Amino acid sequence: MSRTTIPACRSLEHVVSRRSLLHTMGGVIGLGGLNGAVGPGLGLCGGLAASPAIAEAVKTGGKRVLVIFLHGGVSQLESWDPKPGTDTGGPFRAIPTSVPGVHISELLPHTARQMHRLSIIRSLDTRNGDHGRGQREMTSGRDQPAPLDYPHLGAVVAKTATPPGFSLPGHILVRGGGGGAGPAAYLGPRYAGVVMDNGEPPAHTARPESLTMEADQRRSLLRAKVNDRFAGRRRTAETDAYTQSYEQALDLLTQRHVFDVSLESQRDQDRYGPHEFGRHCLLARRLLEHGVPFVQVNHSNYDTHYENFDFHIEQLGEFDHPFATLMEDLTTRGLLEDTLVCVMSEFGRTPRINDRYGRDHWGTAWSVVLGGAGIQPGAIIGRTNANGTAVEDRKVDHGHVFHTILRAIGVNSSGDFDVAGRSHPIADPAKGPIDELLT
Amino acid sequence: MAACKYRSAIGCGVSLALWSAKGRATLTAVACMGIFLIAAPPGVAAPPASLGGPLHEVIDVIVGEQAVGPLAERCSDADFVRRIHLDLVGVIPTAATVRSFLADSADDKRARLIDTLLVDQAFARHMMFVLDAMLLERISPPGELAASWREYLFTALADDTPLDELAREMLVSDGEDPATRPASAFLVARNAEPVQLTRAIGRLFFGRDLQCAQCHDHPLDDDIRQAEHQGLFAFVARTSLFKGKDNVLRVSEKADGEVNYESVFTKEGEKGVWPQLPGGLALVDEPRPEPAVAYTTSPSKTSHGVPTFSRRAALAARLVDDHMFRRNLANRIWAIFFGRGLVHPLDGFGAENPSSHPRLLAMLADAFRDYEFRLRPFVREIVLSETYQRSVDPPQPDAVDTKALDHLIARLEAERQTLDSARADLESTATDAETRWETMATEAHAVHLERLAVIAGRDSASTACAAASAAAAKTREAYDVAGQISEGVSAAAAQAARAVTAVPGDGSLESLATVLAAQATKRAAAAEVAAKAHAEKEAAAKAAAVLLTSARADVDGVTVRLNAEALGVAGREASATRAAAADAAHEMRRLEDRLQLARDILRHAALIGTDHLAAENAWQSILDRWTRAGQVAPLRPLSPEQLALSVQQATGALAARQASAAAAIDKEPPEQLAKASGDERSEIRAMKVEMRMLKDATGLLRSAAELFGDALTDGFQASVNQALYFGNAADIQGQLTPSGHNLVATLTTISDAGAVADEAYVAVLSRPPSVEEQADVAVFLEPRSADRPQALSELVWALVSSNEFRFNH
Repeated sequence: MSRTTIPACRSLEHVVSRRSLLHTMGGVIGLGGLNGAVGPGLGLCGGLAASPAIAEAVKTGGKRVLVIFLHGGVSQLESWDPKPGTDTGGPFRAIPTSVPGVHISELLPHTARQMHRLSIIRSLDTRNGDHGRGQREMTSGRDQPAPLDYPHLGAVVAKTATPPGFSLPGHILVRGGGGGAGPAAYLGPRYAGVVMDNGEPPAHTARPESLTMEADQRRSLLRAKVNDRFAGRRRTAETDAYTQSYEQALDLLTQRHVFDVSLESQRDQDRYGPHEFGRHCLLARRLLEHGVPFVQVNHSNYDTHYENFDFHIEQLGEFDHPFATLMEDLTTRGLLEDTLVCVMSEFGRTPRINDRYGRDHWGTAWSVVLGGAGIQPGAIIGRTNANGTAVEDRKVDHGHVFHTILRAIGVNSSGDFDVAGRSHPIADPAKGPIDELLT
Repeated sequence: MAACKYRSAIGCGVSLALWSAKGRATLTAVACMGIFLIAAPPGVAAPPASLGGPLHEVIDVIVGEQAVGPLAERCSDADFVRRIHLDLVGVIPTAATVRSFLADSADDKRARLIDTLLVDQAFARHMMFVLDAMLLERISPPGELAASWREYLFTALADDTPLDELAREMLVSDGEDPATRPASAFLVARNAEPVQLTRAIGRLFFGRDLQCAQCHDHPLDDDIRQAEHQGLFAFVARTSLFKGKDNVLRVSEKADGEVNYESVFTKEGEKGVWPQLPGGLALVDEPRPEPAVAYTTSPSKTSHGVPTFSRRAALAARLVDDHMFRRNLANRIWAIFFGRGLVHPLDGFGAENPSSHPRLLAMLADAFRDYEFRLRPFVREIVLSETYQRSVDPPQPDAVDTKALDHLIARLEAERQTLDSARADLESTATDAETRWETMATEAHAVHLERLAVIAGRDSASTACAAASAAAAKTREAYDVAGQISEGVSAAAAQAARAVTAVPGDGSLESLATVLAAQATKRAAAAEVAAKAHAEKEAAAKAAAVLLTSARADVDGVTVRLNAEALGVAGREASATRAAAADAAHEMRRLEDRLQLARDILRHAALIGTDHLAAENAWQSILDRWTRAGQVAPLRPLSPEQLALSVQQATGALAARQASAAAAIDKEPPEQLAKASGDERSEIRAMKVEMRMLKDATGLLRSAAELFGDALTDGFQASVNQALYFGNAADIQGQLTPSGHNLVATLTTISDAGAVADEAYVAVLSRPPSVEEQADVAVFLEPRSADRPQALSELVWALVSSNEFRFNH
């Protein structure tokens, strides 16, 4: 298998290895095979052993959110809002989906079969073309030119949706390519993103070799004794919280298997595929099944300032199958009704094709996909014009998407957080949810 | 009440000339004939005479007067030595320091320790962390600015630079001058973006979070108005970030640009907003230089703009006299030592959020100004106070004197009427003053809009005048040239005529003379035309100059009508009376709180016998209120830096770090050190070693900050990640493995369990163990002879991860 390194643009975001096209496409379907690939017989998900017990247990734990973040800025024209046959449309066709009348790019044949579970917002105008700012604004739902003020969606969900006594982290970021840390801002470090770099378990969740479980318990007993003596002097909610955090840590160590995707069946591992994004999607399923309220999986290298079309064949080829498999599994396992799924980027890409066959940064008219918990399935919100250069109907931005996600999982997004006596609006008070998307 | 009982320990104020010109503290207290004297530093104005004594005593008197129920005891020496180290130098004391402090029997040992620590390099280091987190709120400035900003703070703190001076530099520095470039980090880290800057300046310099007033008045709080946000915004609205070809970020400012706004709700608004401090003075008669002289450096693609009149500089110049600025600073410094501000949250100043001790805060604010905003002398007074030195151990319920509380309730009930009528008087005075100011301001603002119009007229007159004089200069040149030609030709024609006379009958001369005569006539006519043209332009230029003069006079005339001075007086009056009225209203609220507390204490006393659970809850609430009132010391979580450095101090890793930093500096002395000599040399060396150690610890400190706290979260959070870090991180494990002279290595050399306990407790918890604790350790170690080093490492871990270690107490 050939591996060459061709970054799509010179920014650090995108220095990842580029896999051969054949390998990415599984060696089965070439470009020609993309045409009209929707139909029975591809057998995405036959014979899944859904686990009702897990689904039931998770249901009682409340709602969850899964964000798939396509780093670099996926092209809406090569994905959710194709404009074939126009001056901006590029070489790919639009294909029908499982929702009559809705077409998406032929680069997403498997996802096309999941569209009756998803909805597309085609009318984002986020007025921004900066990577860092786009990442902050899309994930915090606020206008945020400088890195400072507002918590990441994951922190907000962790704060509002973590069940009492839950000892796993409430906000997990599975990082492949692409950065991001899930800042919690005023919500505090407790809700900051716990990073699983390349799908590895979070930091410090393994005992050092020199420390046996017995030794750990022994020293913890001694610590408890020291704490008891100090509590005789002064005991506050804060000392109690500190004590509990150690109990939670011991508890978490007993659940470390949750982070280990290799414990999933070989069959499932095969279904999701051997590459990184496939493994990360399976890991996301595993985390969600164990009740983690917020999971974000990053998929990178969409910053296609040149060779936009080749890169999208490659990246979306990698994205399509695992994502569709995950949607299928969330459904059959009964998780989707309580799990909101969102596919977003920091922005879209210019309709204009530049002289390097690339598309540049573009926040003026692009798309985001939502589905699952509380979201009307199969809907299309908003519209761009014939060649995708402007929003024609139902203009929205990151603020509206943020409200919508929170409303969909039952959080009153117009409410406030009370942090140490100060009130912080949960979402941008100047915006509101996209009501027609909510069931 | 009880506050006066400690007064006897503190002597009268005798000045000791031990403060250098730079304000750097050396020793400020001495034992003298067995009486301990605490001196105000000379060269620094003493606190206002109205305080009636040293500031630390005043603090205790006010806190004592306001107390409801008993005060906690003075904290133990062991608690003190740990607390004062954490608060002044940011790290727990070494075991040796603890032992020598506990062994010292002198009465003045606490004050001596305070003064020793205040002059330690580590004081500057710790305060650098505190101010960095406060001012940049954990945003890292880009590139090399991150390191130079910290070094800048460190140096400023080592020199005890007045904080208002720092604040001014932070607002003014545009990054051009390398000497003040580090100060530009405050603006640059926020992308010099006006909305971000308004919020940061409002919160950090004036204690006011005006964010929600950006687009409309606060819906619930009358006190937070959009106009206030816009007024502050106007100071920074012309500011932006500029990246030059050298990739250095600079701060650019324009010379023009008005702030106009309207409410998103009511659509009411204002045009040409005056730059105005929150609740303070407006910049009414702003200088408006004419276009030609508006910039020292005009903004362009290659250069940032430097206006001749800078609004940011105007803001900076107004800080020092602003009472909100003073109160905010005093409150923030107080919070460093008490875990919360007298006004809390720190950016929550306002009518709806009373201070716990309004009078105390006003006094602290004025005292800080009188100390010229220098940190050391002010901090010294705070930590000398008995209020600071109180124990975290609360008084027991049986210490409550119910009779005294009954008396207090009666007294407060009686005071209520007097206080309330005083409050009402102050309120009506303030309302009157505000009405006067508002009337004047409304008139003045109409004049201001007129002024903007005449300034626009003057500016176009100025441009026109410049254009007309340029045109006149051009015609003048043409006229001069034509005149010279005409003169030349006419002279030649005259000579030719003379030649014809001299040589009669020479046809060629005659024809030459004829040609020249014709030319002379033509050139003379041309000169005439040029003269006329020039005269016209000259007249136009003169007319333009007259117009400009009159436009300037218009501006001056309108400017006078602004009546800026009178408006300033009225504004100061309004803001001072408003502050007094707000303080009085807060005193009233405080009185009601105290009454409530007194009643709750009595109720608790009644509950003890009847309902244990309810009594327990009531007691917790009473304890919380006592803590807020300064009657009991708070438990305060260590900051990320305090925690990381203290763990290292406890395990012995810090000593190793310091040694290796010192070795690195001595091996390759930096230029500044190599050149220095004498006393200065050792001081510079200490600072270089300190900076080197910090540089080596950058990664450690950064991950501690990420893991343990965020400046924007002003509550304590314990997260499972923190516990996992303490439990499993290689960094912690490494410190607990015997190596060199670290603590666990030392413990392995001690065989007696009691001595092990003593060494471990003093090193980690900064106190000797009790008999019971020695027994705990003996029981723990007894079965572990086979793996004693492992057992000792578990012991140290248990102490380091304990609540007692995590909190400052």
